[in-house]
Amino acid sequence: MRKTFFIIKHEFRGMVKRTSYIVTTLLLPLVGVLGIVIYNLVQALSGGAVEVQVPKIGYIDQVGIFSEATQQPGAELVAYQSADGAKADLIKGDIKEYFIIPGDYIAKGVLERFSLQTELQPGEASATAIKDFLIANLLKNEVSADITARVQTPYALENTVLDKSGNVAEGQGGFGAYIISYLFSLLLLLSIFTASGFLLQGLVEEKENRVMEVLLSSVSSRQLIAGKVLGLGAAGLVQIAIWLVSFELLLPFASSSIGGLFASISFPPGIIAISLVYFVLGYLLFGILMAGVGAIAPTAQMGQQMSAIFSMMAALPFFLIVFIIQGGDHIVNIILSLFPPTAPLTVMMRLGQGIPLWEIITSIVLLILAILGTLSLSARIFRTFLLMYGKTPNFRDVMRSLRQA
Amino acid sequence: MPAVEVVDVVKTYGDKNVVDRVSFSVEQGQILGLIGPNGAGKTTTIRMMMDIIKPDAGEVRILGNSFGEESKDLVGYLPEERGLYKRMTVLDTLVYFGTLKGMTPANATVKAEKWLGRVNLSAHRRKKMEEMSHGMAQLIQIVATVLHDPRLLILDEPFTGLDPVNMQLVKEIIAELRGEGKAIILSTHRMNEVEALCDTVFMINKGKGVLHGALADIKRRFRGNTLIIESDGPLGELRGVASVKTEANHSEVVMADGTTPQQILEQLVARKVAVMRFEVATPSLNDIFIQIAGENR
Repeated sequence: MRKTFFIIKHEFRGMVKRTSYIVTTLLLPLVGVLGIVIYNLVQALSGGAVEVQVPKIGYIDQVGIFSEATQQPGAELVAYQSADGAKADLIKGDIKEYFIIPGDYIAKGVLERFSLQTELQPGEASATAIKDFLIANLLKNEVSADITARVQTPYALENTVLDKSGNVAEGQGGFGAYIISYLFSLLLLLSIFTASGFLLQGLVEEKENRVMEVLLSSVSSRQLIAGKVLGLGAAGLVQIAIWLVSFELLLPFASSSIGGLFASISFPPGIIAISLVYFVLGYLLFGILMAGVGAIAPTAQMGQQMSAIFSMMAALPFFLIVFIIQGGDHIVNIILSLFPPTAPLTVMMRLGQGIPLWEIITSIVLLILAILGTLSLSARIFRTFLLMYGKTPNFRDVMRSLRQA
Repeated sequence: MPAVEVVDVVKTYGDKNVVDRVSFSVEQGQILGLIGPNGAGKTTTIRMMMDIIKPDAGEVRILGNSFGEESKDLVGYLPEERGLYKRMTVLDTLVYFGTLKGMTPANATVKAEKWLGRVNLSAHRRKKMEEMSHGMAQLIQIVATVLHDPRLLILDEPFTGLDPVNMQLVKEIIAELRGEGKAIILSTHRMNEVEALCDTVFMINKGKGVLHGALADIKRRFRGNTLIIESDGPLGELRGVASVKTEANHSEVVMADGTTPQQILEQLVARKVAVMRFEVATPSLNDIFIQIAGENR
């Protein structure tokens, strides 16, 4: 145990002193700071808040009742007497688009719209502005202003998710929660890729310069793998911690100055705790798998190629994200959540919209079992192939070794 | 009790017996020369002794116990081709390897400082390994091997890359360690070093042990029937001699079967020939090595 600790310390120190580690760790917060600084600079240079020009939409009213409520949040409606005048202004760029309300509009409900852009469909802001403008004028003499407003916007949802016992549930979904869980999954993937790269490189180097023989004459292969994976894992956790703390620090600045999306992000402690558990477990599983690859691979380059299969497995949930975004207990989601190599990423991404407790517990148990199993197998492979310098064992050799293990 | 006993170890890769029922032992305070041609199975034998690879059959015992994880702290191993962590400092490297052999960091630091002084590298202890010359790195490797005061040392080609001064230093260290009662296995192709340092020799060829015993006994066994005699005057006619070849200042006398050196010497004394040198030609270990390796080819 003591020896494993010394290996952990050695690997951790080696990793955090690497220039590439320092650059990656500091780059993310720096980009954040830079983003906020640049935004504020641009604002200062352009003299206060960046003003968004409300687009103008022209209309020709052939019914004769559409004259009020021309100031809409998404657009300003400008009346024209003739289509020719509107067309001229459209070409000049004074208005963004124009539409004709024909005389039989009340009976048929058809508008003719003209714009210079080829679009899939009219932009939502224009469509809402036109709709609200029409409703306001149609109802102006029929109902009160309040009713008109309700017709325009019948409801605003305030969602509360309850758990089975009727209490307010931990995961309330929403954009902020999504962001956090996807952010965690991306960070895990990034960490797995960088750390496993270091692990592979380190192992192959030690094999090439024969330090490996001295190491294995001092410690067991199991201690060596565990020490390396945990040491690099600790460095990975420090990296994540730095990123999280800088997010926490930068978020208030970002939400107060930029607002919008940033204001909706929050850090629910429950989600963070479970994400950290999955981060650690996922990291351990892939670290150990990579150590096995490092033992077999004769060069770092070969190692990278061989490890691609595991990297693909780790990233698989991203390819099946459609199911995860839809949420619920679709069979694909359940399988991805329970299958150890895909579990960390899938569960992290699903945390945002809620995932049954039994799935979390089962997947954690399966992950731990998988970690113990792969550690034992990797230690065997390590022992068998580590000292076969310059030779790549073929698939049959590996399978035989695993069977013997 | 022997420091290490290797009993009938076997290692097979595919259908090739790389090491085939090899047995030998080394007593405490003894140096064994492990010799053999390239690819004979020396390194595989050493790796099995160090538990880096498991033997398919047979056993390795360290101080009477089967080799286990705890035995690793009793052994110091200097592999043949070596490298160190380039970006680490000399002292950090030594302390790291010391702690992996069960030392506390504080103890490892004290011992490392002491040993660096012994090999005249104290001034370099804060330098990075990549700044060290080949010979300096070699000395540091040797220090890493002996730092934790092991009972058994396995040194694979320890003299590679050393200048004559450092070579002498390492020989002195090896002799000192033997004096402290450590068992040492010296694997090398330098037969003159084996002759100078080793008490016993084990030769392996094509995976099999072909020569084992005390160096003096082996040389006696391989002694030929040739005498080298230097005298003032001619030797004259001698009984029991197959042939005589006279060189500028000595004669090589090949004895007939059944003749002993004593009988030849008696004839010369009787004849009152002034003998300056009378020597039974003993083959060097190098000659014995070439002879055995040639026979087994």
